[in-house]
Amino acid sequence: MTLRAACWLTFGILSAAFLVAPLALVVAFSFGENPHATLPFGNPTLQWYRELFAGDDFLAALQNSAIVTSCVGLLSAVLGTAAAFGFTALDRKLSRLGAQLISLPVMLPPLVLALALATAFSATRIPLGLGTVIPSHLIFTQPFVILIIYARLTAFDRSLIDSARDLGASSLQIFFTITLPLIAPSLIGATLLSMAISLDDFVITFFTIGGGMTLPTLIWGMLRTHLDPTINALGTLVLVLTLGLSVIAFKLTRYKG
Amino acid sequence: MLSASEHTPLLRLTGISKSFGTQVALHPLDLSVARGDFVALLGPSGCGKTTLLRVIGGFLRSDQGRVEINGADVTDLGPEQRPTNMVFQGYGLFPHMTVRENVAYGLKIARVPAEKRNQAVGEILEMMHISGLSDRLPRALSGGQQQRVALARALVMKPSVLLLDEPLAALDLQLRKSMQIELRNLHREIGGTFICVTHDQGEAIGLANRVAVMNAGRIVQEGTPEDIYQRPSNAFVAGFVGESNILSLTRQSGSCRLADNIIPSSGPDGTVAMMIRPDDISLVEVKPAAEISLYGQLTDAVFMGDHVKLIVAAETGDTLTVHRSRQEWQSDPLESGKRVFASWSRDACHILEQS
Repeated sequence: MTLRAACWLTFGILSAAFLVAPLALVVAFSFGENPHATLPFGNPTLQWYRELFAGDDFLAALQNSAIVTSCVGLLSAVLGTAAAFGFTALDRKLSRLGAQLISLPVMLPPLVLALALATAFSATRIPLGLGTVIPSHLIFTQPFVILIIYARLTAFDRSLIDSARDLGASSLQIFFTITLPLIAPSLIGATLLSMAISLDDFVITFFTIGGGMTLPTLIWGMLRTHLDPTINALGTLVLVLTLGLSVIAFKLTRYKG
Repeated sequence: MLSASEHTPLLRLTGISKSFGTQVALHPLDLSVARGDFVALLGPSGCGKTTLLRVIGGFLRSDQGRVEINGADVTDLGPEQRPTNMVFQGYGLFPHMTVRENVAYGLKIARVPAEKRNQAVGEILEMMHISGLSDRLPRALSGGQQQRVALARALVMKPSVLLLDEPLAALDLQLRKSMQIELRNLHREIGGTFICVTHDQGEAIGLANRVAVMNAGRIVQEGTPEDIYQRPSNAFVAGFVGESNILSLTRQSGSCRLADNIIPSSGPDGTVAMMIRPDDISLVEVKPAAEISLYGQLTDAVFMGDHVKLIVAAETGDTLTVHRSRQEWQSDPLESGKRVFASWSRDACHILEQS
């Protein structure tokens, strides 16, 4: 190995370590006995998970997160598919413009988007709660679903639809018997991805939820009051859920049916 | 009633035209197809033949004109409502369904009861010799097998007209030849009406009992394969169907001059084309009196397997292609560079108006 390559390799390993170390520490502390979340870890224990699950706050936040995530997933899937179909009907220029427009919320700094949403909700006197969190999440999860499904649809073999029509199928029958089964892997993948993004979001949720809590806002609350390893346990749970969803999502969307 | 339907054509197109933007794909055209016909729409790519097929199938609406099938006006109906079924060029098999499910799809949509459906599907799979593949997915099939599935899927619907879009184009040469024979047999067996689009003149002549030659959005000639081959109506058809020699001549007051031959031909003065098939020309050393002949030099002899292709540079500057059977050539070969008379009878050549 040349010196040059060795330098790059070291740099790469250091960067990766820098990125992963905090996450690894959170996970490690969540299983350690040390109540101050400092080194040494102490003996392995599940104590912090037990305490976490015993708290009412956690269960309420878990419930809220579950509601928000599943609603966002379902709505993203349905609306995203509908929008993607709409885009395929437009001509190329228009659909490109539309895709850029619809991706704007993702490019905005989340804080700006959050402020804009909070201002809009208060100006229109819509009471904050899960009912405002869900549409707010949709704004930035939607583009991913639309773009993934749109990409799948543009690669869709038109002759399949022609064949089905030729054999007597109506548009609705074609959608349910041909199109949907064939785009299903992409659709499920895109949905899981939007769920992972939603589950993980703090800023937008914080500004639009009003009084309640989701898992990320619960972490924030706990950080302010007391710093104990239950936070690490909670962090680890959120990490596992988002990573799990994303891994499945990427596997499915890359699947070529 | 019965006699009436016997005399009306199964499919009648009147004044069909189609443009895409400023580009004219089909000039107003008429076409009648009788029950039991196997019609080939033959032409170079971009001649409008696929557009015409898609208009017949209902995938495209013509700008003007009427499409009638069985005497009923279907101009405004979509493909799902027409008694036609199409075999697509890429076959369009549903990749997430097995062979059996693919073939059963149309019947299922039509709500044919399961028992009847299974029987019909079983029969057609049997007929296409693909019963053994019924539980496979399309991606696990070879091109030829996919072709059979696509045919089965269309035929199980018992269409009034079966439309085939370049059905053999995706197959390799050997398979194409055997599939060609099989398509003919299939047509004879079920006695249906087939319309096939192809750019391959050999395929059109070998498959169909009627050929419509298309060029630049028009049907330039329609007739039996023999008609088309032996009596092409213009230089385009002559050049496109089969190999031919086309010589450009000038007609003046009822006769054309080719070197020292004078060929009577009625029609207006101007440039015309003379078409001679390569197998109608013989090469001789003595100028024959009664025939049309051109003096020239044999420049090349190409062995083609079943025949030998001879290239003659004629005194007029034209190049003639002459075919000789292998046996004939072996018993009497000619040396390259030899000076010969290329001659043919008056009956063998056709004077064609420049299309």
